[in-house]
Amino acid sequence: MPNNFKDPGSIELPLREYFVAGEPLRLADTPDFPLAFNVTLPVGFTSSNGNVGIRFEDFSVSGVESFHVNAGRSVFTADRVSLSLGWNALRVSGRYSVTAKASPLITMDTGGSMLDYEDDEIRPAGSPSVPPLDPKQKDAMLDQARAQRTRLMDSPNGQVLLSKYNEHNEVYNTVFVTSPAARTAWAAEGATKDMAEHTHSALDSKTTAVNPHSADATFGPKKVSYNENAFNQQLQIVVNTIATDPNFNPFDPDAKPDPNSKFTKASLAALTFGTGVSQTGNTKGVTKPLTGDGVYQNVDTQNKPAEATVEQLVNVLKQGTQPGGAAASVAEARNWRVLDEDDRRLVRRQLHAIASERAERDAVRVETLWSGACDAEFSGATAQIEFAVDDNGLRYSAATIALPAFEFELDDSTWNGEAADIVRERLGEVAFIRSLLRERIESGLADRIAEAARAIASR
Amino acid sequence: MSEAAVVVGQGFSAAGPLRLAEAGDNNRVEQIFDQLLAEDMARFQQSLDEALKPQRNYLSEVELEIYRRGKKLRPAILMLSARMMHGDSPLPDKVIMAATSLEMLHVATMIHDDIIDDALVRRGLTSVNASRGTNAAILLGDMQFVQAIRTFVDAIEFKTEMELVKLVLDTAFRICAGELDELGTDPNLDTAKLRQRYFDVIERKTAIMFGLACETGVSLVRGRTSEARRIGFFGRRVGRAFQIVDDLMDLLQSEAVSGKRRGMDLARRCLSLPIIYAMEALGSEHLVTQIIRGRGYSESELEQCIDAVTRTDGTARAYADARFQALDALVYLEPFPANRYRQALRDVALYTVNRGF
Repeated sequence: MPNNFKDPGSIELPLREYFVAGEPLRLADTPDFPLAFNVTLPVGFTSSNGNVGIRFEDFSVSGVESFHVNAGRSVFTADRVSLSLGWNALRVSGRYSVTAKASPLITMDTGGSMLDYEDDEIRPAGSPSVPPLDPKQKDAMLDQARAQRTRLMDSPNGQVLLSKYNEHNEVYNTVFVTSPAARTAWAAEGATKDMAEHTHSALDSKTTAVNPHSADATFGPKKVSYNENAFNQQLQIVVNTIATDPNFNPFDPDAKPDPNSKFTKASLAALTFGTGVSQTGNTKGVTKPLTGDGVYQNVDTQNKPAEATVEQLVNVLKQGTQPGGAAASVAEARNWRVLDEDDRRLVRRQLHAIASERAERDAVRVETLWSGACDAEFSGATAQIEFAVDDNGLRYSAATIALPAFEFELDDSTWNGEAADIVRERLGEVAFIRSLLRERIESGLADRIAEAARAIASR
Repeated sequence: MSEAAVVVGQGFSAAGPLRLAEAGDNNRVEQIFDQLLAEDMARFQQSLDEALKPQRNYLSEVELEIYRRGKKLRPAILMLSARMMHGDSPLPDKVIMAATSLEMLHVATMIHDDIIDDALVRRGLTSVNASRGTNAAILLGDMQFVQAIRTFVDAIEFKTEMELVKLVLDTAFRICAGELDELGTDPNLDTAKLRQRYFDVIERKTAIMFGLACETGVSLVRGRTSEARRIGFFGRRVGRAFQIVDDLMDLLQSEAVSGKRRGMDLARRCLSLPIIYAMEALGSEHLVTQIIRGRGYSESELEQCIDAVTRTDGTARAYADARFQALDALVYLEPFPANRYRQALRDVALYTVNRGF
């Protein structure tokens, strides 16, 4: 098939047939790009606080058909055709939506102390009724915690404990960040904070037991014993962690946690830790008081507890969720922890709470804070289309698009409040989104031109 | 269009769009190095030169140039984390030495990465394995690992800091595990599992090193355990964002800018996040998925596939994920004292996901 395209004029007209006037080039919508977290939202939205993002929709490039051929930059030889196109004006237009998704304000330092942030932080409804620690108390306790870590590093067992924590801390943090029920349960209406204060003074005194008999000290408004709350916390972590695994349904009687899941591994580590504590003779109901030194002596000298198994974890869940005492009998026979009625209630309560929270999270709607026009107009875009010429005629090879520098402008005239300020600030910094939109325009144009060029070549 | 229009990526102004520099020019990280950390970076460089002395006879210009050309992001965030707690007075020597150690650990992983990937180019230069052969590259990588640990051990002063040595060794172990996991990933898994696997791999391959840098910085200036722990959460998120954007740049950044060929991850069948999303969009029959799953390819097929990946919404989805991580990092930074070093850490986190291509 001979090549009939010998000069720019001979190819321009056929090419124009593939570009219909007024038919813009449509570009794909973008997903939501997060811009800022924990932003105070304007009045009138579902929540006063949320995560804000932006998406771009209905983008199109118009004026594509108004190209001209740059004869001077085009090459027509026996074996190659290189056609240069230019545009005096291309217009990109679309819409943006600034979106918001409600997110609860977390007042617990889940990545650090596991205590509440400073006194002046906003406290949500249902916060512990025990007064918060004053900053000095908290500082002293945190300094002491560092000294305890140093002490733990003195023995191989202590090192294993810290290393285990480092291995799973991301998972435990995920549990506390995603689940208000986990945070509430941990705080135990202030008993945990009370216990932290007690532990601090016990470690200072050297002679006071860290875990006193209930006759000597109780904690929180419900006056729970140290061991009661400590064993509850351990059980909570086991249950909350496995319940947070998105791929595990604890209400399916046939479901088994995936041993390779990070949630399973972290849950099992907490279960193993509980076994280690039991070796001191302490249980939820039996207190064998230990001073700080006594605790470390136990850590240093006790045998490594047997690693908890998936079967043991399933047993904990079954004891909580299944009627009858079959699972408890198995636990007793295998020397695993047998849950009492309160424990079983705790397991059920946490599993249900985390499942409902997940459903609620899935149901949270993305709201539009503001939307409007987004456009750009520029001149000087060019395309270079390459064809090879052989005995079979013209064969399309490639199209290269070059866009000039241009600005992308959003109509932000209706934005207001703190959210507007932060969205403006963040958008002012995001070069990547601009590059991405530019890349979409370039590739959209290149594809359109390639389609036309291939059609011409096949004639 | 309103008077107060926002110009995406170019700042804003109530009086009208600002005419700020193009993408890449407003490099806040460079400003931080040149201004805020000028003195610390000079000490770091001196310390690095010292640490390299014992192996000087074995190092060629190739390795030295890798050290020179590095962005030094890890040492910088270590020193910024330390400064955030320590303030303006000179940082203890041990902080500078720890920063040196981390950079050496990073270079060690890069040398080994290039061996695994059979990469010929690193930071715009011939890679160590390409210039000196695989055997020498393995040993040089090992040497950087060992020297990194030696430098770190020399840095510690108090018994409490011994825990950091364990943390460094744990991190080195997990980095190796991450590399092995990456090699062992079955590309035939469904894309949801591949995504999960990707996040597991980058956690070990990249994120924990960033977390370690931050934790070490705070710990070495006697920051509290809870603070060291919390800044670790910040660092790991920045590391994840950094890795995702790095993977995006592999597909989107031109060779002229990056100094390496576009789409090397696809060529090497590396399961990066944008590629996994693209596989999801294109389906199992598409050439992209087939190449990832082992099918041979020609140069032109590879080019087509790189274009196909960038034309899916995989790049945008991966970018949204990177932004999520960077913004989540800021949540953990918030409780720290508000000073210019915290601001700089915030800027580093956002710069990671803001830079254009």
